[in-house]
This record gives sequence, C-alpha cells and structure tokens, in this order.
Amino acid sequence: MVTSILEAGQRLERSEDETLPRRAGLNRLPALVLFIVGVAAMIGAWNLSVGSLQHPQPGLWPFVVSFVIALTGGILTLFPEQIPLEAWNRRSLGVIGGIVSLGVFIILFETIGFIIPAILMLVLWLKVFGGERWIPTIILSIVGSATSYLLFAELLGVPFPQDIVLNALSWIGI
Amino acid sequence: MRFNLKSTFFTSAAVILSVGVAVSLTGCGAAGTAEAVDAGYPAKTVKFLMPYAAGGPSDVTSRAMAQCLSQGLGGTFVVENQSSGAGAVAMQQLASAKPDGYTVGLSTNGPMVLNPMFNELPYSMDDFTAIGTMAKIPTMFAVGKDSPFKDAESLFQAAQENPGTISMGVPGATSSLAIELKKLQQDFDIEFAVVPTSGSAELITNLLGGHIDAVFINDHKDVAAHVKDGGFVPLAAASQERSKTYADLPTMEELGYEGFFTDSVYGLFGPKGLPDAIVATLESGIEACTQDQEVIDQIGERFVPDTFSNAEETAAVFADMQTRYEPLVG
Amino acid sequence: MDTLDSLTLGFSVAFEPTNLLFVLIGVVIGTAIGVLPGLGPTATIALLLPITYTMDATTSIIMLAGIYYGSMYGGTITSVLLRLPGEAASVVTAIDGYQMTKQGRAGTALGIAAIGSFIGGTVSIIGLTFLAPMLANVALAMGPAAYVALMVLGLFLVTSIGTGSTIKSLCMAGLGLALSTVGQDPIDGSSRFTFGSVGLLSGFDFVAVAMGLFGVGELLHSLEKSEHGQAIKVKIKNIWPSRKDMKESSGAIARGSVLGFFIGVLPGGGGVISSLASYAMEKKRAKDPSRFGKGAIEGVAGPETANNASSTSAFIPLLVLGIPSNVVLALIFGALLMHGMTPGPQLIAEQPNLFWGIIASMYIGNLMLLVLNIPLVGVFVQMLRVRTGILIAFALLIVMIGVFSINNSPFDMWVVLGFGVLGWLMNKTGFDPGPLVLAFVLGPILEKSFRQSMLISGGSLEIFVTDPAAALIFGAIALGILYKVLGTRLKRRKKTAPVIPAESVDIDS
Repeated sequence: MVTSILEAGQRLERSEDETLPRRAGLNRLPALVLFIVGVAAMIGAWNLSVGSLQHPQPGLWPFVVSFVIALTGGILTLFPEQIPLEAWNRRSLGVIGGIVSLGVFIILFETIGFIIPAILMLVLWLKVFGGERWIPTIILSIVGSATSYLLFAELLGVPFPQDIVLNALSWIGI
Repeated sequence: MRFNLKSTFFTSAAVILSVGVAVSLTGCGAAGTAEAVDAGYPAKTVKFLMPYAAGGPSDVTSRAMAQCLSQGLGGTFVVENQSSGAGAVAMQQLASAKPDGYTVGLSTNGPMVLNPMFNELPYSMDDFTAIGTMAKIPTMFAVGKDSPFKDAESLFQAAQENPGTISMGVPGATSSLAIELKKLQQDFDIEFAVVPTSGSAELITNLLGGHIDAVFINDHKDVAAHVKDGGFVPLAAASQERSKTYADLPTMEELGYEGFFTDSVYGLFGPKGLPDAIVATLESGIEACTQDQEVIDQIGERFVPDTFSNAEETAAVFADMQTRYEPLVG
Repeated sequence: MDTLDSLTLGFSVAFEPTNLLFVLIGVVIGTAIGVLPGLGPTATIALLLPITYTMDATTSIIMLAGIYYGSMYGGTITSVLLRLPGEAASVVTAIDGYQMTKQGRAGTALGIAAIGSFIGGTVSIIGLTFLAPMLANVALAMGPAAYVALMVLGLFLVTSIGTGSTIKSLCMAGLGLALSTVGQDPIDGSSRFTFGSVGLLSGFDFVAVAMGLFGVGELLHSLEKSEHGQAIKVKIKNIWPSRKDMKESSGAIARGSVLGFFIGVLPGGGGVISSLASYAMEKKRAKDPSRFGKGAIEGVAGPETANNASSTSAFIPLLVLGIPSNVVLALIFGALLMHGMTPGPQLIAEQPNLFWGIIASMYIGNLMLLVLNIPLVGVFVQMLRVRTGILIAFALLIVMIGVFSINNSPFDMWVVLGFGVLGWLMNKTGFDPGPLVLAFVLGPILEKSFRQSMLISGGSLEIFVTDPAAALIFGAIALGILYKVLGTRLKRRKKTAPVIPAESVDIDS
C-alpha cells in the first residue's frame, strides 16, 4: 500500500497533464483511508463499551457502523473500481489556498468582528481566484460586506462578535 | 486554542478600541476589571445568554424577562440563544465573560449542575454568581387514559413486584428528572424500565400512543392540555408543594417518598465575581418582573413562584441539587 | 359544524386585510430566506419570534407558517443553482437539480419544482382539511419500534440514490452514520468521539454538514476547474418546462404529493423520508434508471413535491395533538404558547378561528408562492450569468454567515469548512455525498429508537413483530428485497453474464 501512497504523491508533483491514465493506485488510496478510519472508529467504539444486541451500550451502534465502513473500505481497497478520476493539477494547490483563506476568515471573524474579514475575503476571492479587475473588486467587496452586515446583523439581528470597525466609528463620535 | 486567541486579541482590542463604547458612560478607564460599576448600570446592551434553542419554555421566560428588565432597569437586554454543545457553549461563554454585569444568562438544572457531571467541561457551578429565580416548572408522574394504574401507589408497587417490566419515559438522559428517578429507584428499591427520549414532545407522543406505560415529565402547558383532554392521567406531583392546578394531586413526599422532589428551576446567573451592587440591581429587577402581570401572563401564572427566591436562595437551591445528584452520576 | 362551514369561517379570517398582508409577508420572507444558503426557516423564525409576541396570535402564526412553507420553495433554488441544500429534504433535489443546471436546464428544474411544490402543497392542505384527526392517530401509532423499521427502510432507500456502486454508497452511508454518533449518547448521556470539545457535545449540525459536503465542496472544486473569471460555459436553454417536461413529471408530482402527505405526518424524519422515498420510487419506475443522478427531471419534480406536501402535513400532529414534529414547528408551538394558546386536542374546538384561519391561509399562501415564484425563476436563472468568480465569493460569504446564525456559534463555521474540504476530496475521488448526508439524518433516530425499543421490551427483539406498525413496515421491506432478488435472478437468466451492473450487487454480500 505504501507504494500507492508514494505514487499518489509523485503524481501530485508531476501532474501537469489533465488526462490521467486509469490507475488503480489512486482509486485505492481513499478506500484505504476509509478502511483505516473504519478500523480506528471500531476500536474507539469498543472502548465505549458495546454491550449486547438486547442490552446495547453506547459503543454498539458506532461499532456496527464503523464495521460497515471498514468492510466496504476494505472491499474497495482490494477490488478498486476502474473509474477515471480527475487529475490533481497546479490549480488544486489554489484550492488549498482557498481553504486556508476561509480558515483565516473564521479566526479573524471571531476576533475583530465581521466587516474587515468580510472585505478581505471578498477581495481575495474576487481578485485572486475570480480574476476581477481592481475597481470592481474593491467596490463589490465594500458594498457587499456592508450590505451583508446590514441584512444579517441589523435586519435579522444575528449577534456577530464585537466589531472593531463599528467600535472605532462609534468612538470617533457617532 | 480558539478561545485563547480570542481572549487575548479581544482584550487588547477592547482596551485599544472599544474603551470609548465600553466605558465612556461609566467614566472608568480599566476595561478589564470589574470595577466599572456605579449607579449608571446598565449603561449599554446587556447580553442575555440562553443555553437552549428558541421556542421552548426557557426561551419564553428569557424573552419576557429580558423585555421587562430592559424597561425596569433601562439599557437593553438582548437574548442570545446558543444551544450548541447541549448548552455547554453558552455556559462556558458566561463563565468566562467579564463580571461587569453586561453578560448574564439563564440556566437550569441541566446545563448548570448535571452537564459538568456527565462530561468533562471547562466550567463548574463555582464559576457563576446566582442572581435570582425567574421561573420554576413543576414535574409530575402520569399514565395514559387506558392505563391499569389508577394511582401512584399501584404503579410503584407494580414496578417493585415486577422489576424492569414497566416502562417509564423521561425527557432526556441527562435531565434532572432522569437523575431524580434514579434516586427514587435506589432509595425505595423500585425498578422501572427507564426510557430516555429527546424531550417532552416525544414523551407525549409515546404515552398517547401507548408505547410506554408511564411518564415522568415537566408539567408545562403542553402536558396540561392533555390532562384536560383526558389523554393524560396525572398520578403524583413531584414538587415540594401541591400544584395549584391539580389541588387534589398528592405530592411524592405526601405519598411517603421522603426527599423526592424536583423542579426545573430557571435561574439568572452572571460570571463569578459579579459585584454586589450589580447583583442587587438585577435581583430587584427580577423581583419586580416576577410581579409584573404581563410577564406572569407570558410565562404562565403557575410557573412564576409567588415568593421570590433571591440570589442567596437561588444559589442554595442549585448547591442542594449539586449535593443530591453528585452521588448518583457515576 | 361541518368541515365546509369551518373552512368558510377560516377563509373569512384569512381574507381579513391584515392577515392577507401577513401571509404575503410570510411567504416573501420565506422565499428570500430559503434563497440565502444556511439561513433556513429555523434561524429566521427564531429571529422573528420576539416580534410576533406583539402581534395578534392568528396573524402571527399565519405569518410564521408562511415563512416555513415559503422557505421550502426558496430552499430549492440554491439546491438547484449552487448545489447548496439548506435543509435535509432538499438534499435529494440537489442531486439531479444541480446536474440539470450544468446542462443549462436550471429554469426547467426550478419551474417544475415550483409547480410541483404548489400541487404537493395544495393536495396536502386539502388532506389537512379533511383528514387531519384521522391521520393524527397514524402519528401516534408510530412508536420506537416502528421508527426502527421506518429508518431501516430509509437507509435502504439511501443506498439506492447514489450514482456510484452500491458498495460505495454503503460505505458513504456508513460514514454518515458514524459521523452522526459524535456527541452525547441519546440514552445514557455520555459523550462519544467528542475528543474533549465542548462544541461537539451536541454533534455536528446538519445544515453545516450538508452545506459543507455539497455546496462548499462544489465551490472549492470549481476553483480548480474554471480558468480565472470564466463563467460556467453553459448556455441557458429554455427557462420554462416544456410540454414534454410536464408530461414526464406529472406522474412524479402526483405520486410525490401522496407520499409526502402521508409520510410527512410522522414526527422526526418524515420530510426526509418522503423526499427519499419519492426519488427512489421514480428511479425504480423509470424505464432507464441510469438517467438519475445525471439530470432526470422526475428526480427534481417528485422529491420537491413530496417535500412541500410533507411540510404541510407536518402541521397535523402540531395542530391536532400539540406535538411539534420538527424544530420549526417547535418554534411555532412556542409562539402559540406565548400567546396563551396551547396546541393540543382541544385547539380545534376552543380556537376554531385560529385553526381554520391557518388552514385557509395556507391555500392562499401557496397560490401566492406560485404566482411569486414563476416570474422569480427567470430572475434566479439570470443569476447564473453573473461571473463565476463573483458568484462563488458571495456564495461562500453568505454560507459562512448563514451557518454562524444557526447556533450563533463560530464552531459551526469550522464544521462547514471541514466538511467542505471533505466534500471536495470526495468529488476528486469519486465518492457521492448524498448517501452520507441522508444517513447522517436517519442514523440518530434509528439508534435512539432501537435502544428505546430494547428498553421497553426488556431486551426482546419480538417487539418488532408484535408492534403492528413496525411489523407492517418490516413486511414491506422484506417484500421489496424479495422482489429485487427475484427480479435480478430473472434478468440474469435472460441476459447472460452481465457486466456487474451497480444495481445487482447484493447489499448483504
């Protein structure tokens, strides 16, 4: 199995080509991961105490469903389906950038409130991922953030975390 | 991790930027301390945390009280429902809030006393300051209309003679009713087949449908409707006093089950270290609200206690729950 | 007073100008809210609840009900256009609806969904008018044992909706079931797989899971597919369903109405099961089941109709018995309590104006929704002309806020992001999120009901035979399996050596 993981890794590096030959390795890897997850969950469930069918304890049901995952994951690892999969390419790395940006958005949202993170996120996604020009990007980000703030926080009363922009504004004297 | 980051960032942000909002009206510079108190309280929006989702009796209580407190004390009390983590998230937020009176919250037996016993949580009862009792929901034992059990004695006797065959539904595994029932079974050598459900609605469905033999349930308006209709036959009240609505219904203690009582108590709490002056302000605020006819109508006349339990008494009630339940939760 | 007199009374209440206005406000808010991903009817009604305390009781319930069924229409829109299902019942719609969008048939999908929803809703209101008390008893007949049977049936249906092989669907269903066990144990309250996280005590939030796996996963996926700023290169074909579309969907709509109405009465999972059952039924009946999952119009028409029919019949247990069958109805229940009215067996007798007023307002509200939605279909389809980059950026921002607003908790934002990553990876590796999400809804009900049954019966499995409703459903399942096995045998005899079609892989092998 190690070989298939290595292969997958190598593929990730040199995968400029969109057309990928059908490789069992790539089909096997996720199934193997599922198999491992299933087995790990079975162990976790066993430790919760399983009881019996007639007198089930907290672990029984998780044990049964983890077994289903491990079994099906195992079958799929041994007999992978030969279906063509999408190649990993350089833009896949862009997706990772997108994921990180959303994580940063959540952290900032919790600490400095909605407005600044929302503007930053919209700028990033519109400019970098969306390829918009600067002027529409800036206008859309500011107007979009302000509108969402008004809609959600003011109109619907969603309690956003303390917002430093609004705090600063009200301190200046509004 | 999240929380650390949040608190450090928040403190600095608060000091640098929000000083103006936070303290301009009280005239005190130290945003991080609890001394920002004087006659001006409440000078800004007070966050009223709710460990349950909107719509239930605790929500109705919170909203009625928040509105009344806003009118009575000035300021705005804003209810914020945070039901995630079975209420633990709201309780943790309340415990870690600044004790300046601008974060308060409703809590009851479950989130305050039982959840920290069942799960490893970063808070315990000692992290809160009790302010007063807003409402109390009594509990009762009931059976369906076709039940062979006509009174509580016959039900309990049957459970004693045929252990584990009579099913008794309770609202939830970690509810005070489930724990109290466990105590009853231990103390009096009774054994029901206890069936936890996900709340009153499911309990009512199962009793009306004849899927369970009896229920131990919060005696709220939904139950009262079925008692009135005849679908539910109440057997015993499980509060310390008889219910005003069912004056003929004996309490469990009257039936000889000494020390058996439980109510869902809706208390108002603040974080630990809440200054006395603020406690006093809020305490008198709630006391006035519990006598306000509009509030009483909204919450329900039966659920607002006639005599107000102040901060000290409320704290004692919850401390008593703690000592009662501790040996039962293993 | 017979039913028609009562209905006349109801219409006289519903036609009061204030009430008419608030039906309209309700359905408009409902549609709008349904369109904003994440911000479902639960969050909205919770937010609006305090306002309704100051209003007249009947008017406020009429409005809240309008928001609820209005949001069922609105929820379809994001499922179809962006693959963002905001609630459990729209998950099924997202499967074929989004495929239709990719083929440029978004307008057709939305149009047929609006028509189906109207028909399903109306059929269900007629049922509610005439059969409510009788059906309320059906809801009561379903005890824990019957729910076990119903959920087993649901899981069978789940594994049949996937587009891949049965083994893969089964694996994903298993994963969904496993994920749903995170949190407090339903029976003894101990925590399972929470790893000390307070936020996980109540488990993963369904909306966050569904929107992560479907929507956010798809949005991330589109990042690597499209070149910078390119629009989805799909020409929007006809906006309206053609005569052929209507003909193809009419059977699905008729069956969906009936299924949705009856199954929707059941508290807990009724809505999901009805849309699932409708999808599975249409797939079974189709001459070419392989079209499903690739943009089959019946796959949108049937479940969407069933979903709306069930959201209406879900009012039956609430209004007749005082039992709220889902979170939204629990909120409406709370609103009624706040007005000093207790939904329960006496409600019809004590508050005829309220009861019949609400029912009559539903006829009007559904008609309003149809009139409102048909032109809106055109507007929403235009949304697809917005450049992909802009659409993605705003969809993500609104998903994040919407998910936050469910519990006012940033934790759910992490959940939606985490499941978004998982959804993207599943997309890359050829796994289908549908079975996962649906199993996630059904699993907890199955486990809880099974353990309750064992407690009630003292550990005897006989309860599943002695409980009439459970026996009935299990019998139906057994017949279904028998039919499938025999059918496959016959097919095999006809065609020699088939190339292992997905359908014929035995579940219990």
